[in-house]
Amino acid sequence: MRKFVIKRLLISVVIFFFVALILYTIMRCIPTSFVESQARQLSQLPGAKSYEEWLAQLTEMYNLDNSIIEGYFSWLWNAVRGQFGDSWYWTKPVLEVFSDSIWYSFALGAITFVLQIVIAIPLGILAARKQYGMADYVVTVIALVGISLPTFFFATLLKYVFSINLGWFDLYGIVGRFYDQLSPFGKFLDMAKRLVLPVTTLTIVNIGSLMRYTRTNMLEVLNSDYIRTARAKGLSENVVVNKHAFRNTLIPVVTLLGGSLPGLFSGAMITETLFQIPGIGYVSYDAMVNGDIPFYMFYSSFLAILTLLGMLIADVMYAVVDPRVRLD
Amino acid sequence: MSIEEKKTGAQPEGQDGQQMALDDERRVKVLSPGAMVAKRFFRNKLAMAGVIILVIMFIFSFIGGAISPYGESQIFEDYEEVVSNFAGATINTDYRYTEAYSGSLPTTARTSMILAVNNGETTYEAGENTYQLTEIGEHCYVISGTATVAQADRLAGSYVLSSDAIEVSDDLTAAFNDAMNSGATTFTYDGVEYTITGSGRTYYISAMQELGFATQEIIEADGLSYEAKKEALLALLNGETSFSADGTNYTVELDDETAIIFSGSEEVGAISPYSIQGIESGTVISTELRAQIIEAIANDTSSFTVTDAEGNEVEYEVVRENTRYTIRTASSTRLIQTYLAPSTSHWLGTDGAGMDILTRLMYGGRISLLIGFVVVILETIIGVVLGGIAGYFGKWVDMLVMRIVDIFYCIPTWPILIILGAVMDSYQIGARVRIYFMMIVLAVLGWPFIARIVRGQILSLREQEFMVAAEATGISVSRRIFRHLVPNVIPQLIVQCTMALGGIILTESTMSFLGIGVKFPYASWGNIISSVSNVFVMTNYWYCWIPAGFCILLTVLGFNFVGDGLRDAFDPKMKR
Repeated sequence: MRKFVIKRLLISVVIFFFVALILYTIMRCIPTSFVESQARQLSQLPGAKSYEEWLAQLTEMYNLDNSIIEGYFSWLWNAVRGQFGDSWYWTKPVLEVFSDSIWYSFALGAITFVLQIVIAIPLGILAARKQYGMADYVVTVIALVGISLPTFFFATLLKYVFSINLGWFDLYGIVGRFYDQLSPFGKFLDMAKRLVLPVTTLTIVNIGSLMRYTRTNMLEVLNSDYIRTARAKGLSENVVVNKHAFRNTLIPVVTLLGGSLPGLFSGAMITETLFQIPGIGYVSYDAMVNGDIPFYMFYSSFLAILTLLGMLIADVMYAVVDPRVRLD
Repeated sequence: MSIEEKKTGAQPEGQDGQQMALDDERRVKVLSPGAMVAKRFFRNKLAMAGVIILVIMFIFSFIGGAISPYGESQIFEDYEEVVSNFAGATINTDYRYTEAYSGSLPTTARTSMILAVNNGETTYEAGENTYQLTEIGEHCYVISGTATVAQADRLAGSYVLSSDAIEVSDDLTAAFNDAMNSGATTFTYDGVEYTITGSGRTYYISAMQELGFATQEIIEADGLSYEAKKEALLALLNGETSFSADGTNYTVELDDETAIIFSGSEEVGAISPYSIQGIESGTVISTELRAQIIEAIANDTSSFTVTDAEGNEVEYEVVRENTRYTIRTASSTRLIQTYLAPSTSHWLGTDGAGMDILTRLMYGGRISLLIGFVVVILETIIGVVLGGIAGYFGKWVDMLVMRIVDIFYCIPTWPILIILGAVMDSYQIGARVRIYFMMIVLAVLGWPFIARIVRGQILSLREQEFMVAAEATGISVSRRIFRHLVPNVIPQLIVQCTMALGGIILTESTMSFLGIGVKFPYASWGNIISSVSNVFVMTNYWYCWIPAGFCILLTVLGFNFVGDGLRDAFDPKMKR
């Protein structure tokens, strides 16, 4: 087991090395005049450093005068030591921006994750049990509509209905105008209220794939021989489904969910931007739309690491959850 | 009749027209695997719903765009008549001066005159000259004064006179020469006393002379001479209906405070106490129009029509506010018809740029579907080739390709799309190039999942007996891959590609929504919705964004239904 994890880790490091190389290369392929104009723009921000200083800093930071390979290694060396430089757009160290915003994203992601599990898995199982029945059709249609919904459209629709027409929620932001005057519990409620629409958006949009995944796997399990044996033994349908089938369905589902755990930190770019939740997605969207290369390098490396971590966790989970799988 | 024929045609008959037996082998249907798949597919209600949705969307996008009477980026404009203030007329309380000849009344003479009038004096001095005022009516004065009227230059023993102001006659010259010879400084000729000043070869002759008149009436008559203007004023003051000046007879139409001057039947000017000025600086008001305005004020008419230089009839309104009259006229202003509500000419209204939304939706559908298909085809090509190679050759080739797949799988799509979009924005790359670029980037970032599927399938197919047979018969490698392996992968591939199409349309519309995808002038469902970034539009113009959102939703849903149906049709194992 340990050998397997170490091997997977090493492969992940190698993959990350190449992913970061590609990301860096793309950054370097951006013509330098773009960097210059960025430095010029940045120097015009209130309280910013001068143009020469910015240009020198950017050039030094990214070794723009060196070859791509040389520059990449020095960037990587800096990145490994946790030096990602200052964000051009936020004019703060990238890591500071990151630590200010990541917990909003995590809260959003975690609530959505829990809701998704609570809703999707029972519905997926229900659909599989009543295959080609009314429930199955309804669940399938809901799942496919969720998958097909453009996030930005659904979020706007929710805002239109619940914020504008019904006036239940505010359009934007994570805290209200009187947030500072509220008691701690009031603060919590205020934030919670503002998370309702984003969480709804993310849950509906993401719920489909888990629902279908559960349904597919449950169907597979229900068609397997040991379920037929269980039925043949005369076990009640509830015992068959809840004890025998459900546990076996959990294997792939838990693997999938484990693999998506790191994704909780990746931030929901569109949703956060539309609701102006100052999470990592919103912050990085704002930065990247303005051509903030330090932030781009940081955020895309971060996402790559999360993806790799997800793959790793999924592989390990698979072995851990299912005792039939043996690794060698 | 035709139904009858159909019914008889449906009778199971042999080719020779004989009735078939019940167990005739032609009556036993044997379905090919393809037909089985089709049968299962057509029985799936959701899949059929998806097919119907897709057919409608394709017709809507590809045929609708051709049928629509409007263009993709045709802007609808309208000329709207806006009645606006054109000119103002106020009762004048300043003196206006009319000079007898150019420069006869210098500024000092004018300002001193007002003082003199206020003090009730009839003579006043300004500069070095003395002026006399003769009141000819209320606030109307004729100003006369000693002014240099002629210049005398000595030429060959006698003086020659030259003058701008008076007519130089031989008798006048003779009188002057007499005076000079007798050493007198004044002389009288024709009842006018002249004074001689100067020395040497040049003398100036000055005389008491009418220099001009000052009045608070406004005389709008550019074409008339000084004499005519003065006569016209006198006619107004004295209530006469005709006068003659410079050998021309004029008639005057009098009304209270104003006088309209006609030469024959032609209106040549007007006198009124109103000063007329354009509301906007730079407005040119012709004499004729001024005269018309005055006439309208005088007659208390509220509107009048004037034919302008281009022969158009322009209607003016006159509105009175206390002592001020405002002249209003309708001027046409070009307006872009933005956010028109749905109507019969624009079924879904117009958007913020004044373009027909329904037409934009049709063209947007074209672009979204085209991008989807191109990207999926590109992805499939890359994915099948790399996945096929990996799956067939195995070992280190497989290892290498799958690591490449892993690398591409890990590359975060959105940061790259956004940063490239930002760079293209700063270089202002054309909208068409951006679309091509977007297709390539999406394909390059999206192929790994296809490679995985193909590789996985081929890996298992490779071990099956028919491949051993193929190898044993000595079929070449490329033929084995592309004739025997790839066709077996195609069902899975079609399912995945159909689902992926929906995903790509979602990605494309999100990009366009964020402004990094399809850009103006091209329409895309995403960039139609992006108008909601303005909350006012979101709140008040639902028809600008909700139809586009449902277009995306329905199309993607259609692809997903069809993909799902195909999966079930190809893979009946899932049936219980």
